[in-house]
Amino acid sequence: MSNRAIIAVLLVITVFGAGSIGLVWLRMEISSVARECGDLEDELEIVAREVHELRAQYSRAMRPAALASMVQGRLHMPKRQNTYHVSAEDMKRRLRSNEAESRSNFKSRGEFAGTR
Amino acid sequence: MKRKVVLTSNPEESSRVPGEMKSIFVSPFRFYFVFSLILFAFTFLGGRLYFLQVHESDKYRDFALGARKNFIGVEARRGDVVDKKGNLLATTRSVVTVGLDPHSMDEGDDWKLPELARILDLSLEDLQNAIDRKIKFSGPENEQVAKVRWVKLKDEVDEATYRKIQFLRVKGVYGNFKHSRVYPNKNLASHLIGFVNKEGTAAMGVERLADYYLKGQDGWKESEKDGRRREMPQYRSFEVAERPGLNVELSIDRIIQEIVEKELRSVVEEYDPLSASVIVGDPQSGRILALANVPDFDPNHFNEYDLSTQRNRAVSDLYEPGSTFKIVPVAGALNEGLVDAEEIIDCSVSLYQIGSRKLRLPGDHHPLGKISVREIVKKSSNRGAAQLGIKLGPGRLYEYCRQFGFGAKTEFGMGGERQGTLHPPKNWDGLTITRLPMGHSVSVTPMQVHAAMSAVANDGILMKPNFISRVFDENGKTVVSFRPQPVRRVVGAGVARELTNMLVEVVSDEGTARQAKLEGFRVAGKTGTTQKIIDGKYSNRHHVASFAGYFPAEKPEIMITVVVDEPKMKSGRLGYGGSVAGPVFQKISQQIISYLGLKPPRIAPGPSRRNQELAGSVNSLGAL
Repeated sequence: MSNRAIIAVLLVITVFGAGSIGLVWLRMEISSVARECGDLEDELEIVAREVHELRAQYSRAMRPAALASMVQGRLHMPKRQNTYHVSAEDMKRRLRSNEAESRSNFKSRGEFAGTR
Repeated sequence: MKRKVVLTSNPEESSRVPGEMKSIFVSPFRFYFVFSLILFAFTFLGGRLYFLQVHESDKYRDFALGARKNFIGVEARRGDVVDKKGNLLATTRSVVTVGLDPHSMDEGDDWKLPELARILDLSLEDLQNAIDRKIKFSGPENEQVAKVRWVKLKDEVDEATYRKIQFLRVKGVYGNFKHSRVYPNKNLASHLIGFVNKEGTAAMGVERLADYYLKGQDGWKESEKDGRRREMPQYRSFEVAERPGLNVELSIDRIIQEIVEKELRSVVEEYDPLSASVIVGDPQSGRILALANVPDFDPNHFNEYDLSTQRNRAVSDLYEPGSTFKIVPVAGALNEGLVDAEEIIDCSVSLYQIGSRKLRLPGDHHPLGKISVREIVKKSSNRGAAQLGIKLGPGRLYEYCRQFGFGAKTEFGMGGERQGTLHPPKNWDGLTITRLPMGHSVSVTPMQVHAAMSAVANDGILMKPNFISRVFDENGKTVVSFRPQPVRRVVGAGVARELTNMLVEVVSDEGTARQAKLEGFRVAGKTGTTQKIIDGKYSNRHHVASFAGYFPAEKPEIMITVVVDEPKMKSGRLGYGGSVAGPVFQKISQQIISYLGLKPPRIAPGPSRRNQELAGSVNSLGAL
């Protein structure tokens, strides 16, 4: 066998060998990424389950009967005489005037300047 | 025979024939014996290979695939049910069924068992019994023995508890996730919401009605698993994602529902009735804002309650409506132009002559003499209603009953709804024409009365009662919208308003429902007190008290129907609709007015001054 043939054979072996090793490496990388994706999916599911669980607990805690039992004897529905009906226009007018007033007050008092 | 001469430098070797060389190391017999054995072994292996790879290839390929393949079903999460404000009424949480494989348990983990038993709230003995249950017998005579690979320890373990179990790392103990339906408000609106049973089947209520939208679509994954039975995501060959169920928004309001249920509990405490139902709705749209019955049940523990508690009595229980039914002959007679509100009817006569026939009229509680149609409604005169029925005649009276929705289902959508009894005129006896107008000889559901009275409030248009507003996806986007559906016009708008004015007088100091009055609001309504039929006769002691009313009469926003079956009265008093159901209407209405901040269309001078004072104080507070 000539030297050229030997070199060609070695070259072919090297190329195919490297290619095979590369494929295996690629496959391992794919497996690793897939595994990590699977883990992330699991974590997402856990978070989603926790959110649903918390929503159910929140709803249970906030049900009217539970709230009523917490304030029993202290709070009642307001009577009609204690109800003041505010029209939409009245509300807008009041909010606008309060907003302007509060802005000027805050400025003079320095509420946002951290001086208190 | 020609012998082959081998040339060699060694004179001894040169004189031997080739066959003689082997005999130096091994005898020919041994050589051929070993050669045959090896040949046989390889032939056997080849044969076995052929047997496995060709002859039995399908079987073993399937076996290998089965051992490696991992098919995971992904259960779709069932959608939520919320009220009109978005408060959860039914939701789905994930729970774990914890169990063990008795054959995988390791004795080295025995010291962890007391802690495991404590976490699962089991006795150590029960846990040990589960571990010892390694085989099971089956067959007609227990002749078959099988390994037990799964013993359930506890159902519906929450995820936090399961994490503690996982942290213990007890070999052979594991759990399977599944969905469990939760009803955070317990008994609240149980008859509307219904429940999903342990098999995951929607059994009643909106759970069943909207099951198509709520259940979603299960998904699945096909991949391979490793030696520890864990999925290898890289070998996932197929994946069909699950589609979570859609959410359903009801028209009911959790606060109004709570108000209604609280009042029903008071009714039970005060009158100890057989049952009671209250329906609150918007008469203009037919939307139900609250619906409650007693007895009720907790859908989280539905199996602990008697089946009768799960009946939605508002749509499935029949009763004779009594005087609430009088709206039908009055509306019919007005609509046909046979009478007007001020026409005088003689209620002192007990017989009514039609040609040669004399019909016996029902009696009134007190002699009323000659009164107007308006007063017939106000005083709830049986005799007057009977005469209006006679004026209408059997055909038209029956037709108006049908028009108002009696004798047919309201198509509310709930399972178990009944259509009631309304016989056609051909099946009437001689008395029916005089008894039907006062609500006898007919049986109805509370929902039918509610819908009929709502039609009067809604300018004569009968609406289909409904309690589902929309179906929406997880982003809040509406997928299906359920709009209010008018059924038909029953009477003219003018007639409906005239009847409303008459019904307002019922809820006055002179009417039968003075205890249903609301300060600042004009309330229209009709009481009903029905004697129940006991042993084939009308009983004087067993009544159904009812009231159906709405307010503000000028522009009705709230319609409430109250039905109390057999209230037990103190000191022998009768359970009249006005005295039993009327106050319930009043209390519920007052709270709804406060909650919704309903403003009376016409404010009386007193409260108005007070409002001005309040306005002044609010202004001065705002200036502070």
